[in-house]
Formats: sequence, structure tokens, C-alpha cells
Amino acid sequence: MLRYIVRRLLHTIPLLIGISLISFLVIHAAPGGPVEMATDLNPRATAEYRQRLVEYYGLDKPLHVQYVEWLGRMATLDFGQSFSRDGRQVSEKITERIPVTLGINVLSLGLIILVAVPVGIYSAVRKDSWFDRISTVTVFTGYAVPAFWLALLLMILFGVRLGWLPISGLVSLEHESLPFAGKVWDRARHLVLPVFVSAFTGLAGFSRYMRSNMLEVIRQDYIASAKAKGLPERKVVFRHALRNALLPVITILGLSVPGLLGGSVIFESIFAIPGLGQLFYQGVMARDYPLVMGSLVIGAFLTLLGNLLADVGYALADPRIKTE
Amino acid sequence: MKVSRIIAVAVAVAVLAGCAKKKEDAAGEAAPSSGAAPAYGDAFVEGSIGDVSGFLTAVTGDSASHTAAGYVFNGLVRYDKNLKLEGELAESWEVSPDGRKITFHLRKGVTWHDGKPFTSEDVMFTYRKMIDPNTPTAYAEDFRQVTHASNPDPYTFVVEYEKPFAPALASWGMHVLPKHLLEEYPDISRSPLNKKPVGTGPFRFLEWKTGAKTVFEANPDYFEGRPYLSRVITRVIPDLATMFLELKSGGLDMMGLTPLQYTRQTETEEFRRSFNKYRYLSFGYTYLGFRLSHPLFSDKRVRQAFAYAIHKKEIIDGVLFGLGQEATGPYLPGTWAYNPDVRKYPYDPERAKALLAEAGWKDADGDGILDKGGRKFAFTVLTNAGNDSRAKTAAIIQQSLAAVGAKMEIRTLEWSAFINEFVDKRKFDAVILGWSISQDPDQYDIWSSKKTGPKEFNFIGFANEEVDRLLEEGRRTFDIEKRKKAYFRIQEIMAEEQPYVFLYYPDSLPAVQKRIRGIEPAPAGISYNFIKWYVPKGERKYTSFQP
Repeated sequence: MLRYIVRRLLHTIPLLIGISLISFLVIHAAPGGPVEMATDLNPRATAEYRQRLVEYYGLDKPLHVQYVEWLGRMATLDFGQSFSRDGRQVSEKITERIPVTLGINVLSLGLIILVAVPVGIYSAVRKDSWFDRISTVTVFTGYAVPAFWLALLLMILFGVRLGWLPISGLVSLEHESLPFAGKVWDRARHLVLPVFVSAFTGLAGFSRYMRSNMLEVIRQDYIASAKAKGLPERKVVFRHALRNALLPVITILGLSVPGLLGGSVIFESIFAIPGLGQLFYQGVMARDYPLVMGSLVIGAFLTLLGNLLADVGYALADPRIKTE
Repeated sequence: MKVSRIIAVAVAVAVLAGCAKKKEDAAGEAAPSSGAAPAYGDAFVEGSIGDVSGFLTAVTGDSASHTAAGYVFNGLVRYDKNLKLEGELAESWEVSPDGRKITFHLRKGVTWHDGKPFTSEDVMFTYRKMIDPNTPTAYAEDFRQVTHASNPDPYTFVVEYEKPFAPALASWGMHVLPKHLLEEYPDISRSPLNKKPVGTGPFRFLEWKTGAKTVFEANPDYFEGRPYLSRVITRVIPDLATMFLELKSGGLDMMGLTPLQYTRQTETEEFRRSFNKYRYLSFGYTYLGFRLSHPLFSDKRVRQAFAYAIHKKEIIDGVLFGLGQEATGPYLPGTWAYNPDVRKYPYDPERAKALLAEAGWKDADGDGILDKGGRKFAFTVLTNAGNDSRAKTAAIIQQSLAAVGAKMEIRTLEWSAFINEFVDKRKFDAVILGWSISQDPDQYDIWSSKKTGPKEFNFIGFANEEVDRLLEEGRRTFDIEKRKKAYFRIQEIMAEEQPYVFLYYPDSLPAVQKRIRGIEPAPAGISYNFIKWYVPKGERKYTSFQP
């Protein structure tokens, strides 16, 4: 098993290099570079100034040299310095935003599992019942509704009309002066809308998956025999069926790993949450190459890691699967 | 001057930038902001669609950063509420009779936020940093004109120029940097001060939560008196819809409204109870620019015909809900350089047709499109994607021109492709774009025939000997009357030549929470007296920020 994991990890290295090379070429192929973005149609910027910026960012070197240099720095886990005028390290910019995005995504994923698993099971066991139909319509509504639109409606209702919840941000302006319990309460109130919107719009996939897995398992002979030997339905469903139906869920969880750090720009903009999605978007708009490359490499690595975790988890949970 | 970008950064932040005179018809909009006595305390919360990128304005270019830095730093000079230059860190200044030497007399007793005294050493240091090749600044050009700088004593700073250069005076509005805190950093953009500024300004830096907010507190030792508001908090809210909801729910105290919000979404009792709305011209204009070497547009009569054919009032009503003013040239009404008596082009499609006919354009084959020598009058106008008002403007112009027999296609392009692939390579027939208008009327970079090179700003290729001479004249004298004469004449020529069809000046439309008092609209907008804004004692909202 250990050998398998090590081998898989080694396999990710050429993959990562390939992904980074493609990303590097694509971002450089986009019209305008960081210098143009900062100086276009700004009469203050003279040709001399533009030239100086080009040298300042090291963009005067041939593209392949730039890539190799970048790769060399990456090998030592140095993400480089952002092209933005704060001149901060890319790694610092990314890490300071991880808690925000990760926190909200973990909460939302937790909420999704908490709701989707029972809904999926119940819909499967009571297939075509009223509950099944209503839940189907509900989760697909959530799937179809644009997150920004739902968010705005909820903000108007709970933020402006009723005044129960804050509209945007993560903490209130007087957060620092609150006692500890007050701080926790303040944070929780700010998280209600973002976590709800994110969970509601993401519910469909998980609950539908759970339902179809469950349906498949229920049709199996061993469930029929369990029923036939007179076991109560509760036991049949939870002890025999659920365990098997949960297996494929591991795959989904593994695939969710990169998503945990991938923030959505629209979602974060609407709620004014300083997460990774906004950071990446602004990086792209300003052609902040080191920041964009850093974000992409982290995303690629997490995706590969997620796949690996899913495979390993699967192998551990299901004795029929061999890793060799 | 900087062209307004795809993202209407202006909407959120332009409120604090310079603005022009308040229009009479808006007089009733804002209730007199008196009532209770000024008191210290409370916080002022504003929204910004973008985060700060650094606090040293020498090396930043975005408006969010410049607004934030304006709380902390001062320049030697600034524009007052009537848009005249006045001393800030300089108590006064003299220009030598030949216009080549400026002597600044600095204020005494000013201290940096860390308690160290401010002296001419700091000004000298700032000047040296501005011309230092290690400083990645876009503002070096103005300072490179200086041939000699000296600080004979701690409160005097003298600069000499080879030739008199009028815009130079305003360039000393550049924020003065603390020498003792920056000396050891060869590149100031990488110094800690760019993240935690220490200045001489009315507010002291407290906190910058990247992507979320910046917080400043009143400087009790400010040389113009302690500001009444104890704190200024700028929240980053990238979405304008969210920002508007925050404003309505009380989370923000000020926001620049869109014309739609101003006319349709704030005309409620509820909104009026809590907010004052203001309206005045913003410092910018939108135009239709021609590539003057294009066979269609090299004829002046065609450009004049366009000016008659385009219904500017209709554009303002349709795009801005009437919240703007028809533009006549590149200067703002109400400023000293603005010439009100230039040739006007009232909407007159018949005259447009006559002028086009005079230029040889007739509809010979009767298909509704003019032609000349077998060539149809058809062209494409380019504008940047994501700017809704420019797209709508283009559509209205398209209709107006079709009525006089000119066929115009509209193409919207992503910003950097638009600039790099089309404007820079001169691959366009006509463009719809906007310029913001600087307080100093020197527009050499936009209109001089010497500025038509790659990446320069006279991309339409305007060349007029008289304008060239007048532009030079205007920047080589400090005498306002002489400058005025030059710029007045330039506007007459522009109105005659129509290198652009100047379309409109949009209004700035800030809404401010009613508990904030002391706001007095002036030609410069409302924010010039920010340190005098206050909240009466009984109306405080944020009680944990006591003075």
C-alpha cells in the first residue's frame, strides 16, 4: 500500500510540470501583460517607465527562461513575489486567505452531507413518495438557481427588510470590542447566509448520488434475503444497505478536496468575503503571473491529491479492490 | 488623467476624488446639514469595490489606494474647494519672475504620526525617491524636469526648472514621505511603510485586513485641527448590488450611486429619511473618437455632420437617466479653463445631411446608405466590453447615424485586447471611450502632434499647428490669464475641428447618511472638508470608538 502511495505521488510530479507549463503558456498568451494592465491609457506612464517595469518584473527575458526560472523557484517551494504593488509573497497572500475559504467550504460541505445523506436514503427507501418528489424538486431548484440571485434575495429579506442578519463580510465593524461569546455569535450570524446559499445550491449532486446508490443497493439479493429472514426495515436499511451505499461517497469526498480551497468569485464578491476566488480573479485581471501560477499549481496539486485520497480510501474500505 | 476602466471604479470611489460644481437643480436634494453642534466621536464607514494595493501613492495607481493614502499623507500643495491650488504642508510659495524657480515655505511644528518633526529633509528625500530608478513610479516625469533642488534650511525647499512648467506646481501635491522611516529601503514599494503607513495627515493608520477593510483613527495633533470623526473605515465590497443593500441597511455611511439607483431605487420616503443625496459633475467625459487618417473621417465636414447628427440629450436621458451634461470640449464647465462660448452643434439631422452632401456623400442607389464613388458610408465603432453605458451610447449613436444615412457597426472588445490589438495598432475606424479630466488643464499628452507614437495618447492622430503652439504656451507660463487665453483658443479649434465628438460629462451621485453633518458641496465636490464632517452627540452610531 505504502509503495502504491509513493508511486502515485511520484507520478504527480510530471503531471504538475505539464499542468504548470500549459497554465504558463495560456496566461502569457492572454492579451496584455502586467505592465500594460498597469499603464494602458494612463498619460502618466512614459515609454521609459514601461520599459523599467518590464525589467523590474523580469519580463524582458525570453519566455522559456522565465518558465525555467519559475520552475526552479517552485522546486524550493518559493512561489515568488506578487506583481501587485504591495510586493508581498504569493505564498503569504494565498495562506492568509485559506482559513476563510476553507472554513466556509468545510461548513457548507458538512451541512450538505448532514442533509443530503438522510434525504437521499429516505427518498430511495420511499421511492416515488411525496417526500421523494418534493425533495427532488427542491434539490434541483437549488441546483438551478443562480447563487448570486438567491443571495441577493435573502440579503434583501433578512438583511434589509427584517434586519435579522448582517448582509456581507465576515465580522461586524465593532467585532474587536465584543466579549468572547459575542465574537462567536457575531461570526456565526455572518456565516448563516453564505453557508446556507453555498450548501443549498450544492445539495443536488450529493443527495441525488446518495439516492441512486441506495436504490441500487436495495435491489440487491442480500437485501431481499435480509428482509426475507424477518429483519426490521430499520436494521436492513441502516446496517446492510447504508454501509454499502456509502462506499462511492468516498469518491465524491475525494473529488471535493480541491473544491474546498476553490472559492467562487461571484459568491465571494456578493458576500464581500476575502477568499481565494477573489484573489485569483484579481490576479488574472492584473496579469499577476506569479500569483496566478501559484494558485493554479496549488489547485492542480490538490486535485491530484484528492484523486489519490479517493483511490486510497476506496481501497481501504473495499477489500475487493487491489492496489497492486 | 486616466481613462476610466471596464470596472467602474469611479462609481464607488470617485466620490472622494475631485468633482465639479453642484448643479442648481439639485439644490433641493440635500437638506441643510446643520442642526446640532459639532462633536468628536463616531466612525464613518464607506465602501470600495477594490482593495488597497499599497499606501505609498508614488508607486500605486488605483483609486482605492489613493483614497486611503489621502487620509494619512499630505502634499506640499493641494486643490481647494474652488479648485485653486493652496498650500498644505507648504504654508506658501513663490514663483520667480522668470517662472523657473519655485520656493516653498514649509509649515512649522508639523509632526509625523510617530512624533518626529517634519522638515525640508523629508521633502528633499521624497524628491530624490521620485527620480530614483529603483522606485517603480509612474510620476517620475514631472520631477525629472527639475534641474536643481535644494533645502537651504529646515523650512524652505527650492526647485529650479530649465523652462517654466506650469503643471509642475500641482505635481508638488505628491505625498511627502518620512525620510527617517524609509531611508534604508532602496525600493520604497517593498518597505513596510507601504503596508503600514506613517504620515502627517488627519488620520493615523490602524489596520489593513487585506481584501476586507482598512481602518484609520483621527490624528489629535493634525496641523489643521483634529478631525471630528474618530474613525474612518473602508470596507471592500466588490459587488455594487451588495454595496447598495449595505447602504440601505445602515452598514455603510456613503456610496456613489448609479444613475439607476439615484432615479429609481432611492426615491422613497424611507431612503430620504436616512440619506442626503448630492449631485454634481464628475471630472470626466465620454467621447466618440475618430481615426483621423481614415478616408471617411479625414474630412472635417463629416466630423461636424456627426456632431449635428448625434442627439447628445437623448444619450444622456437614455444612458444616464438625465444625470449628466452635454459636453462641448475636453474641459469641465465651472473650471477656469472652460470656454463656454465655442461653436455648438445642436441636434439637427438636416444640417448633418447637408454637410455630408457637401462632402460628396449622397445616396445614389437609394438603399438608405450614403455612397461616394461606389464606396458605402459604413464603418465600425469599437468600445470596451463590460461598460454598459458606453455600449448603450453606441447603440443610440447607431440609430442617429442611420437616420442620416451612415451605417455604423458596433463591436465590443475585452479591455486589454481592445487597447493592445486595436487602439495601439491603430486598427480602428472610431472608438467610444472616456477620459477623466485633471485639475490642471495641460492636455499636451492627448492633443499634441508629438504624442502620436505607439502607446501614446493622441491615438486618433490629431495634428494642428496652432494647437501645438498653444499647448506649449499654456504649460510654459504660471500666469493664469495667459494660460486661460491659450486654452480658450484650443477649445474653439477643437469645437470647429471635432477630432472627437464630445458626448457628455456624467454626474457624481453620492448618498451620505443623514447623521453625518458639516457637508458643504463646492466645485471640488463634497470631500474637501472631510475633517470638518461630524456626528452630533445624540446621533452617534458606533459607540465603541470613543475619542
